[in-house]
Amino acid sequence: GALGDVSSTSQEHQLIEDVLSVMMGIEGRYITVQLPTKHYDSPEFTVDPSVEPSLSTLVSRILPLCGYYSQLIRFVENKSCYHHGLVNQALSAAITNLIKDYMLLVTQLEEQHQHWALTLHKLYFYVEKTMAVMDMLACVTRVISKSEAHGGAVLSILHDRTVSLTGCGQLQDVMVFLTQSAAVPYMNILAKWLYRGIINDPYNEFMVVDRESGSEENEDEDLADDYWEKRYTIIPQNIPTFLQVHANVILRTGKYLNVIRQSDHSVVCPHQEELVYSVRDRSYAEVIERTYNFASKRLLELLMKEKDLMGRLRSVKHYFLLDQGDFVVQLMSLCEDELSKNIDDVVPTRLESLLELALRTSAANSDFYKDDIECDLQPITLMTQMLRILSIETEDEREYYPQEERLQLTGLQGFSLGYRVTWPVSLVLDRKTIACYQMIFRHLFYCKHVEKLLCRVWVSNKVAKSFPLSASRTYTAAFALRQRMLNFIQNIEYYMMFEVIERNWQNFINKMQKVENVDEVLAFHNDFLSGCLKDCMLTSPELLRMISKLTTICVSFANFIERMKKYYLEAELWMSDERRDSIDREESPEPAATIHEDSQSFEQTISRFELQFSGMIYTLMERISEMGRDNYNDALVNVIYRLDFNMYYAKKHEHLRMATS
Amino acid sequence: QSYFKNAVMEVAEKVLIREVLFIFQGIEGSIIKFDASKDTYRIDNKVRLSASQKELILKLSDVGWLYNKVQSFCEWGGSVAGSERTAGRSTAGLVNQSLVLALREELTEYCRLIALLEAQIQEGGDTPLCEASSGLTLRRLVMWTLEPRARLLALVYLTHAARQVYGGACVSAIYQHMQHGNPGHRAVVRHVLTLACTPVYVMLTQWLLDGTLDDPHHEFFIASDPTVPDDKLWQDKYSIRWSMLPSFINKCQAEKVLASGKSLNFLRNVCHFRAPIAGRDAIKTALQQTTVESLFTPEENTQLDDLVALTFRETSSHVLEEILARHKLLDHLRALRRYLLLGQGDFINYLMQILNVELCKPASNLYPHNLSSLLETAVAASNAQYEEPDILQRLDVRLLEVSPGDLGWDVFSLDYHVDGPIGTVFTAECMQQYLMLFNALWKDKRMEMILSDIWREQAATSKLCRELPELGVVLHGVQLLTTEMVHLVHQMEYYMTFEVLECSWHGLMTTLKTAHSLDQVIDAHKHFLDRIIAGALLDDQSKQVRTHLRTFYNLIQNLRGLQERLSLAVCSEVHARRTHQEAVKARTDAGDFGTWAEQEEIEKKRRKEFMLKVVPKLKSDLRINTQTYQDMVQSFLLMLTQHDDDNLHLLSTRLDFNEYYHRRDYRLNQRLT
Repeated sequence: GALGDVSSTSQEHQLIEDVLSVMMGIEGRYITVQLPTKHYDSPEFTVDPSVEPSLSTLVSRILPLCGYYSQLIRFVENKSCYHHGLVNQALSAAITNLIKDYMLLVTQLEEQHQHWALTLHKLYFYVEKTMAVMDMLACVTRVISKSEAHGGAVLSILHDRTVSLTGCGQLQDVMVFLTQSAAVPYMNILAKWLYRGIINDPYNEFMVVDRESGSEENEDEDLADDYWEKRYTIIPQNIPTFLQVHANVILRTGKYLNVIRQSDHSVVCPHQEELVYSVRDRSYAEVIERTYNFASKRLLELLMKEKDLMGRLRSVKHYFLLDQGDFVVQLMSLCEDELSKNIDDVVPTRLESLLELALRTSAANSDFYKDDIECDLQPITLMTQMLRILSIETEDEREYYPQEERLQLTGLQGFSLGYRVTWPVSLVLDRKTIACYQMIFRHLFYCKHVEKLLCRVWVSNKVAKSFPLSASRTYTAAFALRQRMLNFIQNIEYYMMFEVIERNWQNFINKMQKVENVDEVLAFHNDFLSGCLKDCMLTSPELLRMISKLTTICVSFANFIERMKKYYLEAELWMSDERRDSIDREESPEPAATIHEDSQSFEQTISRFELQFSGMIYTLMERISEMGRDNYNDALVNVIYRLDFNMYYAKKHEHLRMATS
Repeated sequence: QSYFKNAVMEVAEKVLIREVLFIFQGIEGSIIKFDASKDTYRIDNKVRLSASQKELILKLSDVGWLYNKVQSFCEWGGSVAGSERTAGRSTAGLVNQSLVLALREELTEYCRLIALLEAQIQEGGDTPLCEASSGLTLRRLVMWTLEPRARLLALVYLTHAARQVYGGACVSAIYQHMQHGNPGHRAVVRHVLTLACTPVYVMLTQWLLDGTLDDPHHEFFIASDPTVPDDKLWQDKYSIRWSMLPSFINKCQAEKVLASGKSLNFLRNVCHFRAPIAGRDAIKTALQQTTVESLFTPEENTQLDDLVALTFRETSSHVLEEILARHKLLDHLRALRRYLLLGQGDFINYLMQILNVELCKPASNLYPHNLSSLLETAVAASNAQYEEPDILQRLDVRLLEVSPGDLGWDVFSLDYHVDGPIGTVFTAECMQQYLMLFNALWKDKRMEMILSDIWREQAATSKLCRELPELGVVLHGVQLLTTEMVHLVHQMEYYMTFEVLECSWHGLMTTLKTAHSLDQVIDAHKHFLDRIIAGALLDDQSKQVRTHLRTFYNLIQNLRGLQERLSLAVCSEVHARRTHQEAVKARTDAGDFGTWAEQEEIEKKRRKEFMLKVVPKLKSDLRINTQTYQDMVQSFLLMLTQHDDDNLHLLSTRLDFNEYYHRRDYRLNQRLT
């Protein structure tokens, strides 16, 4: 029958009986339940309409608590399943603990009720405090269920809620308890990662993911350079907000530990402490920092002591920065024939064996790492390469792209060395770094080659000593130009070798002696390389273009002289008897006839070269001094003093300007 | 009557609670019945209960249902199917038995709780009127059973996982449930797992300590095959039973475990090592520190991992010492290199020379005892005589299978006897490979010998040829061809000795120096052989190249024929001319006419015949030989450049160092970048 018919005390008694049932998630006689459509929403309760309105209202104040309870129960049952992850399971366990308290409350109320000592008012008073806690719990679980959060994301939600409850006393304590319990599995995973570099994360809850897990068999030597970059990655949504700032450090710590482990060293972090979540004192942050320092230091030790990083770098410097003079000269003279071919005709294996020969016949033979050097032919010139790199993400990016200039490229222009590095040295000498070294090498090597060509011209010029005085005057202009070119190229080389590379290297070495962890090593090395690249004028497209133009002029000049050598020798020495035999008679039966025109054009060509060269060198010097004005503590300005040591160009330029004005 | 029968009964809560307590132990009561068709409990319709009471009871009966599940699992031990319930328990294996034991323990714990609850009813049972004082209500029961229910649920999960698996697989299945965020759940699983793991742990420790396997139900992850004889013990006898590998032991550890026990058995059965093995005490003490739990909680305590590592290290180093020091593995390796891979130059050279006569006979006429006495001669005449007698004893001659038409050269081979412990490293397959290598190298060496013979004869012929200027072209051609061939053979030999043999040997020695276990040694040796075989162009990939090389050897034989014919022709012609001149001289000395027209005619005719018949024949032979040779070299070079091996590219560059062949063949000019 309807409840409205009985007295209000009976009504109250019955209602309390029902409320107690509903509080345990069981439908009562007079209070009915409609289940919600979404599993995370609270169910609807309706009280028998015939109940006295005041009682009914009081009951309906209590009823939300029952809703919270059923929400929580559903959450716990749902999230305890395996696939929801450890964090959710731990959270459910913590909530279950709280629910136990709640049930205790219910049974206590029941006992009172059995003794007829409970009224609705009393009931309301007893549950009021619990209501706030349950409300908060229900709210949190709803957010978690709604977003289907998982792993780190759950912790983020919990942590945010905890922080937002600052000052709410007991509520916050409850939240801290929840977060702490829920964070336990996560912190265990984190600890394992921080202390041993192992990820044991069956439900993908952790913020670092190992892409290679499971395929441990193919851990061979031929790991790509970026293997370690790509192997461990961070999953942003799995970072709990309280670890956000440390995410990178955490990733690197474990990675370093893995690196060390891969090199067959077992690592055990000396100060293993349990990581516990807390809102206020960030003890875990300290632990993270400490383990990171440990891992980094250990890796540095490994690199420096066992892998002899400095020795490696020194060896790289020998070859790439032309530190080992005899080797370079040997290599250049051995490979000259092969490299003067078109790049497509160069046989790499032959080059390889010549390189081997050069390595073993020079002082480089005593180098422990000489076997790691290899040849590397690149199908673009240094300038195109640099310009392409520099133009990335600028407007002219596309401009340099589709150029097909392969065909005109000689082996010499494309030649460079390669260096095979094994893990973990490749952490420092990765592909990008090697590419930087290669660029410097190509630049230096080409300059060296130009110098060699010019020196050869100088040698052939020595014949001119025996020319009659009248004739030799024709060639003075050419000789003077050659001298200037030689001067230019040698000074540029001097500048690059001593003022740039040596100085930067010294700096680098000094810094490396005080280095503390691996990141510093990387940073210093990077500084060193970028300093070298910049001061060698490789990073400024304008300067680079000028330098390469100058070298091109020098090369074509040298080639021209080489070509003309035969003719002028014949022309000038045809008459002198003692030389006659040395000249092959069959080749030019009538040399005298062609000579005149040749020498005419010879002088013209020389003056054309001279004009080009001077013009270019003026612009170069002007540009450098302009740059020097902007930024006068650059090493770059020194080039001017070197190039124009006795103010030759300055005076001449003045002269020139006066004449034009 | 019927009305009364269907009459609804009012039941006091106390009765209900009593019923529920029975249900908790899986026993049906008068009101609450088990519905087998739906696999649930239901309440007798006749009983009138309020809706909330009904729901409460159903909720509580869940616990009983869970209890039943676990209980039934315990009864038949989780073996294959229900029909084998009785037989199941004894055959399911030790792990399942201990699993059941663990479950029973848990159930006992649970029953104790029920008994406590029961006692509470009894206490309040006397007061007739109200249950209030009893302190036990249905709601309270819900609260009391909250925790046991969770435990039972965990157990049910475990029984579900452990269905139809046994041994190591069962342990793995249970271990999966360790990964749970709920600490209570984890504790239950941990307890059960600890007990279930005990048999595995015992087997593991026995295996690690003594190398014995006592595994009647094939539950352990190491299997042994009793049919395998002792000489193949290392390779074949023991294996890892992957399906039984508990998932908390990783592959690397499993291999270490396998190797440790295997080493013990190896020492005992193959090396006949009787003395107590040193370092056992350390292992024993380490073992005492481990517990069953350390098996599956590697992150908390590393004792077991340490133990495995320690045992592995100790036994492996022991085996290595045994093999390297007592059985002198390195000496044998060196001997194999010297004799089967032709490392001992003077010995091989001398052997080849004294065998020359014998081996030119058809293969069927060869007798091993003749050959072995020659071998002894060669040993005595070279530095090989200073070798250890043990090694010399193992060295022997062997004739390969004879196929019709074979010469002695084709079937002759040296042999090296290996037995006992070192036979583990030098397996039958390895020795087969050594013989194959010997055969190839021996052939190469022989070609070199033939070429040097040709060269020697040429030196003699060229002296004679000064008198025969008309043959100068042929002689020169033959000399050029010989030089080309010598170049090729020398380069090939250089390649073999320095790039292949020396490099591989160096690699082998460095790995042997750092090796920690016999397996590493075996692998290194295998790798060494594979590398040499690939380098010697004997692997499948370079079959074509090898056949090409064989045609080249035929060409050398042809050249020898040509050279022989040439020198024969030269000799006979020179001889004829000399006798003619001597006759003339003799007659002149005697005061007679030196020659006369008729005789002059004969001489002229003879010379003409020589010029017309013999010389052109030689010339054309030479041309054919040269042509085929050059074609062959070109395609050989081409093959080398197209080969995958970088070393062969270098070889091809070296063979064609001054681009002599390069210019002749456009195919060699292909672009490589």
